[in-house]
Amino acid sequence: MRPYLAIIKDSFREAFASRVLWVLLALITVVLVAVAPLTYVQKATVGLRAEDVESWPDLVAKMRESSRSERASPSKHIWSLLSAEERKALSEHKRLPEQPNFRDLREFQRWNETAHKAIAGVIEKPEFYDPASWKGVSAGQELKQLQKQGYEKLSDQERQRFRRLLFESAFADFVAVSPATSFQFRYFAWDMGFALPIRKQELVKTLNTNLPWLIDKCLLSIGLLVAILVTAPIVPQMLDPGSIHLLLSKPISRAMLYLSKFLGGCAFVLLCSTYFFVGLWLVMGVRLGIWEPRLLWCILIYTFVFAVYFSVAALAGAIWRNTIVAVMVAIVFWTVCFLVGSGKDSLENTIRRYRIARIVPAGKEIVCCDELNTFLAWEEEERNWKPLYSARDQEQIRMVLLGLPELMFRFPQPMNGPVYDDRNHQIAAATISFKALGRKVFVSARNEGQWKLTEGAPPPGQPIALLARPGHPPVVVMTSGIQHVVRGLGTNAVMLRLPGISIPLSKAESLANVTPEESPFWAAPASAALDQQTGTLAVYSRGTIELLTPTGPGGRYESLLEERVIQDETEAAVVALGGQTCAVCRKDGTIKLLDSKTLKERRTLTGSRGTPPRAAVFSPDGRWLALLFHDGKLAMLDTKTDSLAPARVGGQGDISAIAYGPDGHLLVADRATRVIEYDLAADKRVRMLNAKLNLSERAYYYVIRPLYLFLPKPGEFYKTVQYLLTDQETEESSEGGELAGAQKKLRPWTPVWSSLAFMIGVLGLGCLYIQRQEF
Amino acid sequence: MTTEAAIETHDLCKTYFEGILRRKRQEALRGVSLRVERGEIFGLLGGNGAGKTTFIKILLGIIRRTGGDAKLLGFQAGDWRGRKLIGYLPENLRVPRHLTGHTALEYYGHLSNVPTSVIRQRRGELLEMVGLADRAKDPVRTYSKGMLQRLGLAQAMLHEPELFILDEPTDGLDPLARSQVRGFLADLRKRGKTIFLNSHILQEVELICDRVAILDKGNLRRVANVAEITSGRGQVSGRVQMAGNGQPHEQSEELELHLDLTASEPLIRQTLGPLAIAHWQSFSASDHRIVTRVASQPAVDMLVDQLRQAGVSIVGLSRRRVSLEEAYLEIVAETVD
Repeated sequence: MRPYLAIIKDSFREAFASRVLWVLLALITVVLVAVAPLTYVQKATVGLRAEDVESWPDLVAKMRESSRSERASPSKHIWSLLSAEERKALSEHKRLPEQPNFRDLREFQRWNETAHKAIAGVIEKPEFYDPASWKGVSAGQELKQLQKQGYEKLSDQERQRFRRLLFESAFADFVAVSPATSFQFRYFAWDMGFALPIRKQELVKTLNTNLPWLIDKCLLSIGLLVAILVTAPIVPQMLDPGSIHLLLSKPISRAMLYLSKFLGGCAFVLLCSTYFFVGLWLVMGVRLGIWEPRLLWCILIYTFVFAVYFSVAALAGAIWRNTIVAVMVAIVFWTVCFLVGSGKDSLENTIRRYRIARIVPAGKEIVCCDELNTFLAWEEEERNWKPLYSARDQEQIRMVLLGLPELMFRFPQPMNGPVYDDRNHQIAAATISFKALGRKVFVSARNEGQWKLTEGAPPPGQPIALLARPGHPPVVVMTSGIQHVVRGLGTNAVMLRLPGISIPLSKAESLANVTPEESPFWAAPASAALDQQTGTLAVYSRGTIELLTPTGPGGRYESLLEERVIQDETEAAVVALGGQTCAVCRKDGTIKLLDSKTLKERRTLTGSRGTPPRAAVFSPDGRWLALLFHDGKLAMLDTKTDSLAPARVGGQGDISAIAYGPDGHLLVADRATRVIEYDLAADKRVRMLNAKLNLSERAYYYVIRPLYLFLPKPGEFYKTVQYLLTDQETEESSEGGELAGAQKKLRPWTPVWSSLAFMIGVLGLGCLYIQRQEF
Repeated sequence: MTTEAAIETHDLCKTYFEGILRRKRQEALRGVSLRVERGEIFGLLGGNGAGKTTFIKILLGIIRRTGGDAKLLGFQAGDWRGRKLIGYLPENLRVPRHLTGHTALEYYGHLSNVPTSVIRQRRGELLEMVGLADRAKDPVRTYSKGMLQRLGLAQAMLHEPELFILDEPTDGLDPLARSQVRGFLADLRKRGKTIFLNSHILQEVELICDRVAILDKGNLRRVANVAEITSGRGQVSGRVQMAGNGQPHEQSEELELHLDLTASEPLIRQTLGPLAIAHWQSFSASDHRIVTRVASQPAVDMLVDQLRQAGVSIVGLSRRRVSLEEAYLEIVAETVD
């Protein structure tokens, strides 16, 4: 080993002798010194942020109304403190039309900003506190304590906090309760931006999630380029005739000589990255109080990222024996990786938005629903899915959502259902409606020669699930009750008109109340499942499962038993009920199999390596449980043997929805828009609804994805660092954080494995070349 | 081991191919058979493109041969066991710029698997020997070409190899340094080391080498003792006939005689009879200088007897010595004809 260690040692010697190392270290020092003054202080939460108020129009309407009365009140006092112009601006609020266009929305937004500025300004004013006006306000613990001290004796900071608390208490229905302290970032003595009303844990999490990306994309891209420029001459210099002939005359292996030179180049970068990350770790520890030893993993990870690029530069240097060519090839390689990576990301992000999320077999037909909650009906003639809209604005919103940059995009909360109501020949679902200002409403799709979608009234409570079984009315499970859908849900809602807004009201006529006598309260996280044969209902809420049967008078449900299955009350789970089994699929990928009669645990299985479940559906005969995980993998559980095996279907890893037809056929949606019907018992495909691929899908599936699989992913190492810092393997990307919602799997180790394989391949080629080449 | 030749090649061939689509063949070595014994200083001579460096590269395993066989100290050429026993000085040595005299020796020593302690013990003495002791701690980027060459020689000697392969060892050195190099090459030979050197400075080779081989366009023209070549003997026209062991056959010698004679021209011509006269120069009617060739020493004696009997006075008689350069040029020129 002595000769090879000597080569590596020589690389260190070379690094220390080069001016570039010292210049780089000096630059790193400058960056660290620039970051060092950044710190934070915890101070009382004061003032008012725009997002603290849920609905500005409602708050302003309330203030205006109360200000007209004779009695002194907080509203009257605040209104009086506003300037005449502000009062005028706030009074001039046009209500949003029923079907607002984007101009309406923009104006609405502007008005909200004006309202926030005016009212936040008032809270800042010392005259805001006027004992007479605030007399009747009920005070919380913190406010009482401050009151006890006496307003006059309070410090300026405490007074501001006092005013905020007063405001919160007076308008408790409109204003979010704020934590006592907020984080104020500070650079030297200057405050940066607003104080953030968050806990330290949240701050650490935010930093751990965003810091890797920031470092990766801003600093390290430049750092890596410099490192490549510095190290690119190593191999060409080694191959210089006056140097290589002497080296090759020594009793050493050529491949090892090449690898040692390669490692020597990495050593140079190891020095720089060690200095940078140890420095950053110290700055974070000393200045922000966040001692995060896992940050030091970055030293190895980013040296490895460099090694991937350097392996390419070294191979190019060996072949062409020219530093400039080596640098150029490394830069071209970086560009290709970057383009393929970002092309894949952007195409995937778009395709992910409209891929099929739900399948509903409706008689002989199949209706689907995409991740944006748009219904899709199959058009046989065009061999494509046709989106169904109840109104034009839905179409516009869908277009906007599809085009939105990834940073601004969030998946909407997944709908409840859809299910097929065979008695009323409708597909029913409860979904977020723009018209109802983000509340859920019922929607109904009917096939009248062509599929038509109509939006109906909101459900009478917060829906948890909409479930169905053939021949019976669909069941709406809500946080505080159960309803049967007995008629078409598509009748238009009655609108309640308030100043500025109109809200649809729930109508009871389509529903029949089957809530148990003793009203339940199933708080989130909650989910529910229906046994297709017996009609027994299993409702999961905050760690417990309750079994209910529709055996009461008038089909009312009666509670059979309740059992705690998960200790952590905040954990969401997917449940399924069929045959002798009640399955509880947990976030960590494990599946608890319980006896469907006693809810006693029978067995616990592990699904898709720690990946959260997305859906669990029993076959109509109750024997098979189809389990879909968020990594797009489908597994089948045979309840006879309680054994889990990957399903024998195509598109494993890219499956986004599953459903059982009444005939026991399994419907599987994969490759974004393809639905295949399988008869698993006969092991054959029954039919395939394969939508034509559009240009971007073709580019994605046939060009970008294969390239992406082959190429290393040096641009994605921030995901690995993010994972090491946060331990989170998936990123929730839909509102509400439900398991059924879309999730993005981070795949933190993919960049490592693929880059490692690529680097070994490239180094192998380099060794082979050096071994075979005549110098 | 000791019975093995230091270098032994048999019918060694090397053909280079250039270009990807229209491959051009270039034969760098055409069946070179050579044997260098242990303990001798052997010079390989040849012009530019004669194949000298190719020959050395094959011996060291830097390039592969296309035919024939080459052995180094009993090992196949390129075998790492053989390479361990070699001290090599390449042409135009480039030492990494960040090294100093000391660290360069440490680096190259480690590459030859010499322990640090041994390197530290030896490097002072070696640098002293090559005249770099006072510059040992200076970075090599401040060294002149001659100093680099001396450092190269030091690194070649560091691991005490059996065989030295030196490509243009005195290139870039001043006359004093050349003489020093000649000195320590002679020293090495005394210690039983073999030295194989490659040079185009023929005066140097003449002074240092025991034997030389002359390469021309990939063909081995002549392998002989330096003394033999410069004695003026053995300059026969025609190609050298090589025996299977890489040694030339015994040849019939011809001697070039320079005669200063005093007699009339017709008398001299009559006495010399059929002997070919290469050159005739008359200084007066009776003083003549004649250059002729005779087959052997007995023939010289016979000629002297004949001249004396005829009454020709022999003022001067000498056998001509040629320099290696002249011999080389003559040998190479012969092949051109």
